[in-house]
Amino acid sequence: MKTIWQVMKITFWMLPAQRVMLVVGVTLSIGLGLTGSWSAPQALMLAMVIPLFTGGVFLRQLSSRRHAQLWPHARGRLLAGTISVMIVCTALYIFSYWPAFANTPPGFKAVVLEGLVMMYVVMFVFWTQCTIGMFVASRKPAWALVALIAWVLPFIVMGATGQEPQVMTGPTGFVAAVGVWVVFSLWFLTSRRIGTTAWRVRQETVTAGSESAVAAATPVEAMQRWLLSSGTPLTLGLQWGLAMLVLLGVQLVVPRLIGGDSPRDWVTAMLFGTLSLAAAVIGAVSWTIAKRSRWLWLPAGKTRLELFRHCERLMLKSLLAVILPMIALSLALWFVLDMRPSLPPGYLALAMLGPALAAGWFGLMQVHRKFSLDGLAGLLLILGWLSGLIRPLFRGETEPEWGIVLAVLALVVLLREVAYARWREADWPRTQSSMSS
Amino acid sequence: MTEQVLEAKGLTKEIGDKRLLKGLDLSMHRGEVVGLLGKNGAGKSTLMDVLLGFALPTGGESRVFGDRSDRMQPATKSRVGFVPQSDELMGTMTGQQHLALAASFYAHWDWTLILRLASEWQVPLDRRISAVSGGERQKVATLMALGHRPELLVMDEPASGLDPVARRQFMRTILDIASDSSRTILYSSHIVADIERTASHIWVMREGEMVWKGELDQLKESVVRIRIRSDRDLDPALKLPGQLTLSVSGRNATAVVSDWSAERATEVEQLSGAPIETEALGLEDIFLAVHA
Repeated sequence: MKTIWQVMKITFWMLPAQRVMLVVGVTLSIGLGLTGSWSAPQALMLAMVIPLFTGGVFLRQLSSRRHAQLWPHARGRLLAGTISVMIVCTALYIFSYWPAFANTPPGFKAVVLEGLVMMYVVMFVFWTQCTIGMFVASRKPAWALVALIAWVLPFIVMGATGQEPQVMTGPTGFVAAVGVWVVFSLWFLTSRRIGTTAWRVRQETVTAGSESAVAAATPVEAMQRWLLSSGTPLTLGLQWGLAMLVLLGVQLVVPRLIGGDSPRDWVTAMLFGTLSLAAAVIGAVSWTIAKRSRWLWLPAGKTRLELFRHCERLMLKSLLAVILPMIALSLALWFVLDMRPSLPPGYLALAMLGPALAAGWFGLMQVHRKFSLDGLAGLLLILGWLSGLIRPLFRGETEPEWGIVLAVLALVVLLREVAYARWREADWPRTQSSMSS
Repeated sequence: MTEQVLEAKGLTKEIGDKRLLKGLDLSMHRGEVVGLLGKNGAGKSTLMDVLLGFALPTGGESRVFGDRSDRMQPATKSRVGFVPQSDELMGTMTGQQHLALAASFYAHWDWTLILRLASEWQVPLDRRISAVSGGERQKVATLMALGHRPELLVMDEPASGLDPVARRQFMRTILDIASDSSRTILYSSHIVADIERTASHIWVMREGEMVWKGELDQLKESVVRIRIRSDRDLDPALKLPGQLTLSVSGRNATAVVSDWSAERATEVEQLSGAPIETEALGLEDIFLAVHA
């Protein structure tokens, strides 16, 4: 029971962003539920989105640790914790619909109940896919591709055998998900060793004693190499561009394999939504830059603000390197494949660029953390991206949400100022080995 | 008087309502080897962070070669080497690549010294950092701090991950560096014997305060163990001047006292009404008594 409680704490309460999203999501959900609104479940999803997408990653990280192998029944307990989180979350999600259905006339109660059961199955299947998919994908990039294929395979099979995807919302879907859990649990509990996350790019070794094997670098090049973990903006852009090509390719091919009447607008929205994930990449890059800047304080011989400016330039270069493939792919989608979202192109560009810029400075802010402010900023950033781009994109809206995009751009300016102020008086946090390895 | 390398006046560091450093006054001169002792959480790493400008003080100030720590000139920074407690190496790069990267920042980088030390310490420079042991990582981090032959070398528990053989080699290197009187070393360690072997000066920290600072020999003369053998039962509530520890058992008592001197000996004899025997202590015993 203790382990289940600890897994729940890790899933919901470990990071500031989790805490903020949990509190905001639950508060909003209760508030909306009391007014009988249909939006209560969506608000609750805010609290559950991190557990949904990170549950599998946490499970791998916890179970692959060496000392976890010495805990009695560690794997069983961790698995029980992860499944408990799923059961609690899916049950809460369905329960959040209840206030909206409270005044249903007695004659319709059975229909409502049937609908709730269907939604529970959908949620259960989706949670299973996410948790196990993320567990597999968190091993290494190649496994992420395997997870992606496994994710879409059932739909391809259904398309090929002429079955409707709706079959997954009934008993078949539920039994399939339970079956997946049984198979996964058997493997998880009996496997000799759970591999740790290995998403880092490996490099070839050099010959000892030959300094010439390492290209001589100027101090500026050396700073860049250190801050980007031996990468460059160009390699970053190429890797991102390649990853996007694969992802977009899968998204374009899968609907054709599934067949049926896969809505073109939906696929278009998916493609542009995926491209906008550049913001997450830039956020991660600039966060790494901020974390790694500490060591440069002495060798680089720069003041805090000079270092900030250097890191800022590097972040912007990386942003450009990531944006260029994004623009190229967007243009290809727009002109070559004629996949055009309903939103005006100018608005679309700003709605995609704004969150990326905000994420860049949000990452640089992490040179000196203040959890409550960071949590709030992160939440605003995600809300801005969701409501300024994702929602209008998927709803096929033609009227731009200029207010939201302008708010995101204002957030960009604000985050830049916060980052500047933090760097001016930065107390570099001591680096942990685990972080740098 | 030799050049002052490090100086701190009223150095205070607070995070929230926690006082990590409590108004420290310190100085280090050229050629000194200072061993910094203290239990976990005493504030050693924070002190090093503030002294080198990684963290800003909330009160007071510190200077390195005359420059304020948080505003060190590039030329001053190039005279300093630092080995952090947790290394900041990249798992994807080899030791060799790390050293080449560090060398890029300095006008003068002594590859001969580094390759000699790497060979003596048996550092596998051709392997990725993610594939080497914790001790080997620590050696690479130390080499990165030594290559530009810093005049001030600051090390935060540099030998904690090393095996006894590697530790001995490492301490020998420290002694080699220390033998050059132009170099100054500040390092912390939990291995008191290492500090006793290499340090000329000792700083002892406890809960953000500097409870003792000075020469090692002075410390050893100042803190002694005394034995009192009386012909009548001693008062169990006996209190001795400067006592760090005291145990009374019938007619005998044993104590560790600080600020020991001939006057203090007379004072104790008068208080206890019995003759005393003194015994010199090793640094480890002194450390334990200070933290009793």
